[in-house]
Amino acid sequence: MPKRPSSVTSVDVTSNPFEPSGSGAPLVEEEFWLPNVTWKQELQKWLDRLGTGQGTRSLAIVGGYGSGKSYILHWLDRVEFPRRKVLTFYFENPEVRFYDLANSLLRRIGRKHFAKLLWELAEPNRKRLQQRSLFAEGFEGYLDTVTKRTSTSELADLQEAIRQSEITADDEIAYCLARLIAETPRKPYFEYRDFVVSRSGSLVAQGQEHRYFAAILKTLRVADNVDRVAFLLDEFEQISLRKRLTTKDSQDYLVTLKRLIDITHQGDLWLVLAMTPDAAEQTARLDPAFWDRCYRFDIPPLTRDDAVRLVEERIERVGDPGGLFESGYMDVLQPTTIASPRRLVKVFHAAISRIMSARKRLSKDELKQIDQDIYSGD
Amino acid sequence: MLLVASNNPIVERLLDAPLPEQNSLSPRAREAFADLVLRNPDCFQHFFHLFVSDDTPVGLERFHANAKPVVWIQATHGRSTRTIELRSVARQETALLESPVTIRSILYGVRYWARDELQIVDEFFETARGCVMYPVRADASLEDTNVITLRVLDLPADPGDWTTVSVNTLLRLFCERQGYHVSTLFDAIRTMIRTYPAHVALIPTIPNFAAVSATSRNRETFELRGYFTDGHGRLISHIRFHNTLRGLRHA
Repeated sequence: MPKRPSSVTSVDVTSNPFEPSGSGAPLVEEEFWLPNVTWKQELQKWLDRLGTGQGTRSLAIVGGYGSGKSYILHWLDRVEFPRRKVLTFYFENPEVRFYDLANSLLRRIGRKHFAKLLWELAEPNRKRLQQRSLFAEGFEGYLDTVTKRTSTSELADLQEAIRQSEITADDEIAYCLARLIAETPRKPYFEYRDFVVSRSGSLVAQGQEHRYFAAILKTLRVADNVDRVAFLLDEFEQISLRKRLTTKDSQDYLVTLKRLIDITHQGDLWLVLAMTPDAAEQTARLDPAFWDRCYRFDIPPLTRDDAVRLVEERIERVGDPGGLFESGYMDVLQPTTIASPRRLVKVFHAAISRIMSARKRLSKDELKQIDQDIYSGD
Repeated sequence: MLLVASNNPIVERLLDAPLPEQNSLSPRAREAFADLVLRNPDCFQHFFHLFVSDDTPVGLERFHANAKPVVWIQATHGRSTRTIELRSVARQETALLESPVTIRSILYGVRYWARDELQIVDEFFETARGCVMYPVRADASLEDTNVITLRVLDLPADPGDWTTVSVNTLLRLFCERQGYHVSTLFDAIRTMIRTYPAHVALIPTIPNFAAVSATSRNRETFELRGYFTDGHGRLISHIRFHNTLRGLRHA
């Protein structure tokens, strides 16, 4: 806890450490920390258990809007998971279907980059390589050889090499991945239709999406030399926002979850879902068996001490909290403001803005007025 | 010629009741009308018997005292046949409405009347369970809002400063089990927010997820009846109140 300096009547604050909308986490990595040590301990305990291979590998972070779900996901993404050698992928507002995730993931990585990773893992096991050249040709050199139609034997060779590199033991999936490499020169990007099963030219076979996905994850894990991959899915309840779900879409939503959970059982993937309490309860009602396989962390409201810590840690970046506010300033705020990180950040953004323009410390009455102006009768 | 069964004491009560005002029955007329409808053998046989364990029609008083909830769900058999299942708690049995005519007359006829005009049942939707129809209490009064507010504040406390409770839990506790109207519960929530604005927080959800299992616009509107809507038009799934309110209410 920062020491409170002696009373200062004139202040000079040049930047506002609070974002205006209170809509999310700051972007600088060093600034990620959790305001409550108990939260951190509980989340770390879950991660420790996973590290030893025990327990479920999916975590639901449950909280209302503005409770800090995205912040916790960012903390996991940028601080905690890298420390544990876990490769993370952050998805905001994911789509309903399973292949939407594959699409989003692979488009982010890029087809050529992913094909290169895959090729480099498979290449030592290719038989045709030894027949063709004394020297390793490299991925670009390989692509030059397959710019035209890939022969069946070439695909079979790649398929076998992929299987031997232990990316997958499944022949069909290995064939899909071989096609992914060999067709890259003609189409060096992913298309949505690549992942839509039953469409012509799709890379994914019907009913095989999760195995295909598991192979993709294993490629990423081995290529990046990380222990595991974690998907962080923010605003999970928003999956249905874009359009009304048909009955089939509702089923797709559950199927997506189940398949992801199935993959987590293999140990390569950890899944963190941020959702509102309603989304958690609806999902639990729709599929209790699935929900039993999720570890649930409910974000508690901030305590007064948490709130002081959050505010003063931010203010310390630009000045002394004691120089900006009167002693006991937190006590004039409404309890509903103290409990909510977003409300707190918005109120203090307004307060610091006022201080910056008036160049003087804010009285408790003024701070109280700001809180009530923003959040009266909410 | 209009014949009136004036020798029937319930009809007599109905005729003595004040005339309807603003398209709404007066409470006395509503009671008499409800009594007549409940005692109608056809209405009983096809709908109201599901609320009670009796085998013959019951009057309003007995209905209020003994009726239990009925949960109805839409079930589709085959490609296009829509069936309604009515699950009776009192009888531990399921009745089926299979033909379009039956569905129209029972589900959108008798049920609507019982809920909206006679106000002897109310209902809310719960995901993965169905539409819960329950008998409302006979002794509804203007004090109900305050009674519910106090009872909400008496619910078991969560650890820490705040207690969070879902609207669905409140619907089960106060509506399904104790027979308060859904609108009375929602009035109580409004009272809490108005009385303790700094100590009560609402946790919203989004409409499309709230009605995740809805397959049509009408169905979505119906399913959202289980959510409280606040003054900003947000759908509220949970309420959080400060535990100090438990002491304040005695002041």
